[in-house]
Amino acid sequence: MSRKAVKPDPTKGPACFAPPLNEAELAEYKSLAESAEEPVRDAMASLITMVEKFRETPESKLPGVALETPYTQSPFRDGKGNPKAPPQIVPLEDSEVERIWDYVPWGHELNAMGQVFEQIPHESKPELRNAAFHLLWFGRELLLDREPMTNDKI
Amino acid sequence: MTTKVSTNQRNAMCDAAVDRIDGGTGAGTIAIRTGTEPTNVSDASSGTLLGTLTFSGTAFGAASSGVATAASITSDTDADASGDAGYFRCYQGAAADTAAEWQGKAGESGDSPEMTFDNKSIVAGGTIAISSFTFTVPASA
Repeated sequence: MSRKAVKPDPTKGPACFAPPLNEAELAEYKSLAESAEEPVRDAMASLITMVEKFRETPESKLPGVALETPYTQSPFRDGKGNPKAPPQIVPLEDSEVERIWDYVPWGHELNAMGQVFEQIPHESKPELRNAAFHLLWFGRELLLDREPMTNDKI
Repeated sequence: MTTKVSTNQRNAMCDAAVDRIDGGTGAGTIAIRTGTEPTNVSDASSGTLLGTLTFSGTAFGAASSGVATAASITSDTDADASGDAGYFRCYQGAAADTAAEWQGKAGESGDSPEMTFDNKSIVAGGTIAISSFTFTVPASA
């Protein structure tokens, strides 16, 4: 049975198009994870390993599917506030899905991590909380077998 | 016994409900927060505010078959905080507890939410977008 209970659905999108994650930020996240307490540390470490594994190969070359909206005018805007085409959902190639399979947590595991990360106080540890949820966001995107829909793609 | 209503009744109830969103000062808003939704819409908001999106000046079109579809919703291009979306509230005008009109669970399909995302994690500084939003009055209750 496929682990991916939910396949990319062109009628829906992520709640949030997260900022891209560059190498410097990933290194910072590693440092934050190492200084965090359990179980946050282990959860972040496994997600960092997942992101690193995913980045070993180029982006998928499969054709994308436009995120569907019921509106005649796209709700998405460019930097000047003008309507722009909805973002594309680009599925991962099968070989990539297989390659990263063992590194992407199951959905229930991601939800458990979310509950752990929710305990990080955003008032006193905003950097750690942001890092944890940024990594979790990547996990949820990869579980859907698609290129992460970061906000530079909208 | 189940009470059933006509399609005309459903449309009228639906239009009346969604038109209230337009009754505040300025366009209505949708706030997305972490955690479990409060018991009542009149209760104070709980959890962490993740972001706020803005309805169009006329938030919804006329209902059809008991379903009103929201006009384009302006994204929040700079999410306030990071967390998993737990619930949403819709308001007349700005997101103030006294102006809340309705609320519902937010999450992924496995959460059986009223607002479905396929990735419920929100990251501070990201863009929160709602690509489709409807309000439905059922044929029976």
